[in-house]
Amino acid sequence: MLRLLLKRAVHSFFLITAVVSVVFLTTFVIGDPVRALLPAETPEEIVEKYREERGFNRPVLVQYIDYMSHAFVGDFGDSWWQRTPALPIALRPLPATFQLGILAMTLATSLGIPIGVYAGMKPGSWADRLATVTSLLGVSMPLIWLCPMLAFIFAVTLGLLPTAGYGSWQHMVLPTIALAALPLGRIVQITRASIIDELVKQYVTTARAKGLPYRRVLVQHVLRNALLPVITVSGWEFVLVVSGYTIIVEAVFGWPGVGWMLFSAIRIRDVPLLAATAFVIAVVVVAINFAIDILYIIVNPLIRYE
Amino acid sequence: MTTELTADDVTQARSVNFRDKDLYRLLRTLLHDPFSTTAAIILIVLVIVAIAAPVLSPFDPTAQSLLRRLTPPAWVEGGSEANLLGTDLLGRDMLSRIIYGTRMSLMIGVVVVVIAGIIGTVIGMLAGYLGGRFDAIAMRFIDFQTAIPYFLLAMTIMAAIGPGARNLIIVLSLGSWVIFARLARGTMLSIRHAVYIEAARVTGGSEYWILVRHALPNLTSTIVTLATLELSRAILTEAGLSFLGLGVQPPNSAWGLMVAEGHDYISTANWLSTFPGLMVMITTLSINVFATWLRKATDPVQRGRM
Repeated sequence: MLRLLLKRAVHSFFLITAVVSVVFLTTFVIGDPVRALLPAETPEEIVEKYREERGFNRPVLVQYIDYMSHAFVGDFGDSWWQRTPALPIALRPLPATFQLGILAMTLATSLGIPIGVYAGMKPGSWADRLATVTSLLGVSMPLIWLCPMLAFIFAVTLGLLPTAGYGSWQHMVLPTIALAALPLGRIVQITRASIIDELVKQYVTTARAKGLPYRRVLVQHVLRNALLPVITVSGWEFVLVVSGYTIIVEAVFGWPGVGWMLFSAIRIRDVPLLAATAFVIAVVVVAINFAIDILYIIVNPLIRYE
Repeated sequence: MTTELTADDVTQARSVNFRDKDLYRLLRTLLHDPFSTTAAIILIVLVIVAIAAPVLSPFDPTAQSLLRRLTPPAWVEGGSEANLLGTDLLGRDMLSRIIYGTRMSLMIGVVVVVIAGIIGTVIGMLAGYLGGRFDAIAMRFIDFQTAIPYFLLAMTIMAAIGPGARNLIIVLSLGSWVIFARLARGTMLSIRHAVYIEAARVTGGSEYWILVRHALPNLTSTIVTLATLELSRAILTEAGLSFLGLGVQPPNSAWGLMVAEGHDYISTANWLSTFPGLMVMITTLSINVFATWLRKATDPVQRGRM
């Protein structure tokens, strides 16, 4: 088990390195950071001077090694916008994103697992139809449409909640629902499929033949096995929530989280801040994956004893 | 005419025959399922709209008319018959823009799926068939890329190489090929030692021949199903990036871009965002319904249950 964790740790390290490298490659090699930094009409000699001062005229490999060695200690340079180190600025919005992300995942799992279990137990029932519709909507729903529609219905027409912003609990309702919608669909789908798969297995027949009541077989035997894939998928969805969905949701609802920070960094062309934010998101993603792995080892005895 | 029939001619004739029957059977099961039939019809209509966009759109999608700006849809008070779905901020006809948006979104989606599908399938098949070092390297790469938060990188790359349809296609293909490669590799591994592959080898078939004539047909149905799902994902991602201003640029029409343009007017002119967003929703939903049916219909295990 220790070896497994160690392997994952090495893998995680390379993954974060890869993300930072891609950001370096795209912003410093394909893009021109000096041009992004200076106004378009800057005379050529000043551009050149800048390039020399900041070391952008050195060979790419030298720049890359220099950049990475700084990145490893969390130094991405000063944000061009705030003129203070970029990493602390990128870390500041993290709690706001976690606040939304955890709430959304709690909502999605606490609704999705019961619906999925019930649908899996009774294929063809109303619950099964509800599950099919939820999961289809979950994979097809464009967030760029869901967010404005939620704002239009609940904020503009009904006037129940604020359209955007940060502060009170009312501000959290719409972004949480928007973030939970997509994971809900996948969780329902995987739970349903998993329950159907488990129910036909022989240990269920054996337990029933022994005379155990159906409810007990379901809770003590089937659920334990069926929830394994659900844990994995929930983890993936959490990763998607934090590294993807949240960018659009935060942009629409003006929620000051990491997604909003990433979007702002791109819009104002603040390269160090962009790199630092991408780094923060990559670390969060790796941490979530790591947590899921450990959780999986704990709940799955087959892996534990391997 | 005394040319002898070779064994190849016979297999070829048989396989063609088999496929015709297959298609006919597929079509029949499709017509038995009203839900999936509706989805298929919607998709056909969308494709026709995309191809015949210049013929079908009542106006030039870029023609501005400030006098007619923000005209509501025809059925709302103040709307006019001329602009069925109303006009946007610059007085451009919404219906024409949506029609051209269909063309843009489908074009990008289809091109991405074709590029990613071909590259991914070829690399995946080779990795699964050859094994060894090629497989190890390819697999490492695939594993890595699937673990990296994709939307984050897509945003960074788009910001660096600049927005636009061509760059969107590049970035979306870069994100999508690994999924095809993984599937193709998995299937290849499972059939690599199948008797018919061994037989083809023993009878002196070249590697190329074995891969194209014997392995590829076994991959087709799973690859096609995956391609439909990836099409919906590409359309959603394209819409998301265009919404954030990193995708298709004005004056072009794209659904995501139109939703973004209407976002600030959600309380006064909600049709600006509603219709283009609804188009994304209808398209992805139809694709997913169709793909679900396709997966069931082409999976021999599930076929009997239909």
